[in-house]
Amino acid sequence: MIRFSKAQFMALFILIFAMFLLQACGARHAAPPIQTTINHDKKSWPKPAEIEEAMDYAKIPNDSNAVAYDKRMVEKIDNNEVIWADRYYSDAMINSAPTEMLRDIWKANNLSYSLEAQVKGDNDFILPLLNRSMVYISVGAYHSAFKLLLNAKNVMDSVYQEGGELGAEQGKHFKGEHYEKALASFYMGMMLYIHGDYQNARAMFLSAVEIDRESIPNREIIQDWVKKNRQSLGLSSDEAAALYNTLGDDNRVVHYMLAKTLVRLDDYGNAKVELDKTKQYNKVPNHMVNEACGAMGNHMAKQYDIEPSNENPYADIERFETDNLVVFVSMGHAPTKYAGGHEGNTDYVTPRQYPERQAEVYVDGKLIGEPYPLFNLLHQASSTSRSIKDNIQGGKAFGKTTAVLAARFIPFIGGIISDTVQNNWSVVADTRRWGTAPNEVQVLSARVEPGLHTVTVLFYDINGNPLPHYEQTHYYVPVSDEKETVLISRAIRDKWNAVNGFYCTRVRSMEAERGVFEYVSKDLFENAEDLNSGIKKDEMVAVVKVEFDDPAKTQQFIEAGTVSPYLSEEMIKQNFANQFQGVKVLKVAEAKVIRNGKHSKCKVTKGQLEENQVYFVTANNIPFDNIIELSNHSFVSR
Amino acid sequence: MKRRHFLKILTGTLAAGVAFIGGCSSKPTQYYVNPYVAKSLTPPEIKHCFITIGHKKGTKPFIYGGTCCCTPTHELMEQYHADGYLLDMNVEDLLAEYEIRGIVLEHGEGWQCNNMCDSGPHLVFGGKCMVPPTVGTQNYENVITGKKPKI
Repeated sequence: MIRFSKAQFMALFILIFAMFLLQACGARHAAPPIQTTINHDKKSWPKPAEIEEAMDYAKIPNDSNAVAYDKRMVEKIDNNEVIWADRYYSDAMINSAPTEMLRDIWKANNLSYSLEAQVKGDNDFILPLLNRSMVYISVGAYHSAFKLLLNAKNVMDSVYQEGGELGAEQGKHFKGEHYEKALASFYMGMMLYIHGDYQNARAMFLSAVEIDRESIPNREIIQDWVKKNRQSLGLSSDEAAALYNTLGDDNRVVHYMLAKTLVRLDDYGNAKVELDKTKQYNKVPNHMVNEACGAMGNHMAKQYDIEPSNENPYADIERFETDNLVVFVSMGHAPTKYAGGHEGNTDYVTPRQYPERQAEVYVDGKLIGEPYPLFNLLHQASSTSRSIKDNIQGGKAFGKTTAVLAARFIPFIGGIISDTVQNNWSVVADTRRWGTAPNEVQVLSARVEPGLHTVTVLFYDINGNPLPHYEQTHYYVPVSDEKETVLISRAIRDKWNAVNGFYCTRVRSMEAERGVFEYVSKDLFENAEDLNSGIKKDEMVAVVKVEFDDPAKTQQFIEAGTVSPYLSEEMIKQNFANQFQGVKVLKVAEAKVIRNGKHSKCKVTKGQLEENQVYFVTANNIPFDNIIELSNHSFVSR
Repeated sequence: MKRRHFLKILTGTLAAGVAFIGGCSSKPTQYYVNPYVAKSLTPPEIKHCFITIGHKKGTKPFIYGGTCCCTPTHELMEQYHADGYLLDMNVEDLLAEYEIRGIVLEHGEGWQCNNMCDSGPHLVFGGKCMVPPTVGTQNYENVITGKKPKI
């Protein structure tokens, strides 16, 4: 039997404690610093040598994202898929969730991105309507989007509510938070505005304003906040009270659109009043952000709700009359929600990370301006009073804790009853959300010569680094003196990319002279779950070289660019953002699969391999023999 | 068991475990390549015309083997006649022809469906919808250029 002295135990304890401390410090330092300002100094994107223009549209294959993304998007509706989720829980995981609380949270997460239609009357049936409407708006099918939103709005606006009184809040019919309701009204108003129905557009924007005002806390809460926070805010009592009231009426993009609509209806007086409300950005006080975002989200919120550094240059009645092109740029995704508190009884919002933070709009290759940030969903979500809802949920959690404790005093079976109550009575907060909504809307308007134009929207990150994968080029945008053109653009990674991302695998056991080599078969499965979806015997593969303009980067790619089998495709794309700057994919040979197995063997039929080279194999459907990274950042003029 | 003996066994087990795990793991060989290739700022040639971009002179209606998908108006008929097409038809006749063929020219109250309605896709892609596509979308460009998306 080993015996340790007290001193040894103490030393071990100190060692473990020190390791925890080190790890905690390390983790703190490892996290990226929160950036609270936007760097407007835009960096350039390198132009590949000897290339004067980007890809000729006629040469772009019909299965490229640049041609077929929208079509695939709409197909997702028919297949009841999910969209734009960065995390998705399988049915197996949900079924094996250890507690009701986790099960509810995971289900809520999935529902937030689901397109699967629900029976009318189901608790969640609004969510797919909202998500489908986002698909239809992003592909320009306003007719369908409006119908879905109208259907959703009818239920969201109704005061009737049942379910979830004692148990999980998700037992209730989902009707959305006030900021989600306001967003639905805003989109409906936008579609009516584009449609030219200004009377109804005005009604919808007014509805959005009214919904936003519902988030203003009652007088007692405001008085309490003023008392507690006016000193830290550096404001007088009246100023602090005014700030809290203004925060509940600061949906600036709605006021902007309402002002535009009122001008169309010749109501200049009210248009001016609405326009004035778009000029001021009110920072959400820290205590409200803390209350809304909790410990996890409040730090990040500072990076995703940043005060604009200049005044809105487009908030001008005269511009409403002269500008004939308006571009709405939507960025990012709606904040996510997580359950906090002792029993997961409080819902908190936290931003979802996204790189695109700034944009520039070009007409026929010439810069016409930068869209101005007018809407931020996180700002809307954090500038509201939550006290009543949180109190109700707190009461439920208290009730559950009391019941669990009380059950323990029941003789003989107390433990079983207590555990049953603990694991099966979920009082979890409602973490369902409109996950496919954008987080930001930025707006630009300009006076453009009448005619058909090419409009390009280029995106940048918070530090002004170009994001080529998000850029958009729209052909034949009609602009006239008679009617304003409204262009709605949503930043979606790779939507307009002429080359779809593709998987490849390293060539192994190569005999260059004989032109034979092997590759790991499973690396080229079309569908990882279907073992027969790989490349079959006698089918062709392409042999390519992947090179960067910097040889060190090429080497880095070869050594460290492999894909982790545990990452989802969405995560892979995020992890590889900007990693391919300056890349060339050169097709060197075509080969036929002559033996199938764990390691498939191939024989070159066209082209020549060389010794001591690193080659990759991919399915023989890459669109061009040579792919060179090209961005319109290199071809536009400022 | 002596403490030293115990530590030897512990160290040995750990070393063997690390070696076992290290030996079993193999380096992944799969790569994901995702270069960005932008489309040119120069627009491609217009193949099909419709009212949003204006009628292309010298074209006849798509249903008669041409490339024009403009919604019939009196001005458009005059243009067709000037180009020598549909000389025996007026605008009502052409509208009736579209109706007979079940082609939708406009939705109730003029809503934009971007050819994703029940009558879609667009006529040029084999559907029955000839509602002008929504500006700034892929379908808009696809109809103009005749590029049929492959999914």
